[in-house]
Amino acid sequence: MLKNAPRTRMLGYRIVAIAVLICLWQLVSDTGVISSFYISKPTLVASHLRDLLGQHDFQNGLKVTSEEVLLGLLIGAASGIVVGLGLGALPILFDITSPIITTVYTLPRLALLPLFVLWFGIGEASKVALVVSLVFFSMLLNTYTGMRGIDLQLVDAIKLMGGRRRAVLRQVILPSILPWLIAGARISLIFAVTGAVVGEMMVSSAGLGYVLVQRSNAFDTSGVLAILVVVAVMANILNAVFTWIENRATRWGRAATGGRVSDQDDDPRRAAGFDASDRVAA
Amino acid sequence: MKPVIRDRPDVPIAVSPADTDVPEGSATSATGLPASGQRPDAVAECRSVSLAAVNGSHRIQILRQVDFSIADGEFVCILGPSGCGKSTILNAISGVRLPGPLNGEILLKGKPRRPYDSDVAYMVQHDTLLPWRTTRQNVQLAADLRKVTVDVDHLLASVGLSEFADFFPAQLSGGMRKRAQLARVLAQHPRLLLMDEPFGALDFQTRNDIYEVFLDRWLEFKCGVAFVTHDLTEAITLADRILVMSRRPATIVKEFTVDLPRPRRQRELIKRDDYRDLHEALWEALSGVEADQPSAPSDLHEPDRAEQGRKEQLT
Repeated sequence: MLKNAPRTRMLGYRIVAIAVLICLWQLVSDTGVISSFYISKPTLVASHLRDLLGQHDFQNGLKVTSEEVLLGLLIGAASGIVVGLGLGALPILFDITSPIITTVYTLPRLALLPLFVLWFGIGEASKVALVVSLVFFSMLLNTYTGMRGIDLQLVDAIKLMGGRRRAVLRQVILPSILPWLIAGARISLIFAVTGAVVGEMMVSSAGLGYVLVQRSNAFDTSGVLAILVVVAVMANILNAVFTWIENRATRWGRAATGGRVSDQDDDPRRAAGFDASDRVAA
Repeated sequence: MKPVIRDRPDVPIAVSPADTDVPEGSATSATGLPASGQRPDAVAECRSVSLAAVNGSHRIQILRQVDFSIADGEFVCILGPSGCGKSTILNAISGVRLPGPLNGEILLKGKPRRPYDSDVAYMVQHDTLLPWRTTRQNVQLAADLRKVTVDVDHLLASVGLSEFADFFPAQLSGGMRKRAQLARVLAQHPRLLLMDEPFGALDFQTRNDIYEVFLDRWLEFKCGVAFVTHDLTEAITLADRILVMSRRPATIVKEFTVDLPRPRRQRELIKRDDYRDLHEALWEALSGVEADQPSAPSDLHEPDRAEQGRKEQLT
């Protein structure tokens, strides 16, 4: 069955699906149903991509954008998690600050970019600040929500075994909120890439967004798409890292959906708890 | 019933006539109970412990003048109707999440208890294994937090969980999870083990298996045990001594000594006459409690020599 296909076969299906999409694109463009001026075509994008990889502009842009995304994610997530933990431990503080948090959270942060440029200059720092402003709040709110859902009986259990605050944090709080942190990181990733690239498109002197605007101004559809392919690859790599962390860290959760051990359970994959990442992904 | 009315801080201190049948003419404390000085071997003592749950202006008396002690290595069952406050007694001893201020004194090994004392392990009613840790890791964590060295694999083998050491709690059956929790409390090497209806949710057969495992381990560890249950068969099977609680506000209305030989196997026990007598006496004591007449010990026939004439403190 498709749903329970092993991982390697699923990978095959996915590649086929992408290949079909690319072929369709090529076909539509080649037959002139839609002019390649508007949608380019895979072969053109590929050759542009090859050219791009050799250009200094692009290489530097890739470096700059990656730095902005990674640094912004790191600073934003770390501070968001710490503040989220603090507010989770002191709900009264959250009650007091929640109107402020909600207001800033709902603000279109891209509109703050001019201010960030004013404060941090036209270089990477302003884009990092933009990314941080996006990531911080989603991580904070996810951490806080995760904290609200912690099973206090587990906290008691740790204390009853002689555990102190540190043990409670390490053994109960962090594992409990981990799924929330991963979910927050996934959302943050989208924010971070969008923030960095669009920020660069608005105000910058380097970065993928900067290169993209130049291509766009030259009506170079293939160039624009080639850069977007690079952005997509970057986002996919980061997403894969998160998935890897999630799979490693939440094995116990999959064990839960994998069913209990009983005599009837003859599927060794299931019984051993190394089961079905596809089920969790769903 | 207005529980507040039952809150009687001015309980008559004098020894009432009903108290005179305290066994062996032992000295009695102000509340008519054996004086604490009588139990130098006590691992835990509750002295006139009272507790009310306070919720805004609402106040419900839960415990009222609870007095008892547990000797080192003694297995005490606390038996009573459900919702009477049995669990609260254990919470009071451990110091975990109390619904209101505590009056009276709780001593552990002769000293006022500090919350989460390292000599106390508590197996609560619900499942509190950490779901992200395997059986072995759960048990190991308890030993690590208590800073004791434990042969975890040996302990797991002794509760029959060797094969499941690397399984996560969600992969275990209900009975296995109880065994794992049992291993976890034993790994803490407690002097006092508090257990709150730990086997209540298990089916008959699983429960019997676990009794055997538990009693064997307990004979090995020999810590004091305060075991809360509403199941009188369970109480007889496990305990050296059974304390019967009244309805809320709960106090101890009767006390039974269980002289059945160990190691005990329930299947063997039920064939014995003294088991049946005790069962009958407990049943009667409990039905008296259920009928909500906790303050009339004389109404209860006390046919059993095992019974030790625990007196009613409040007339």
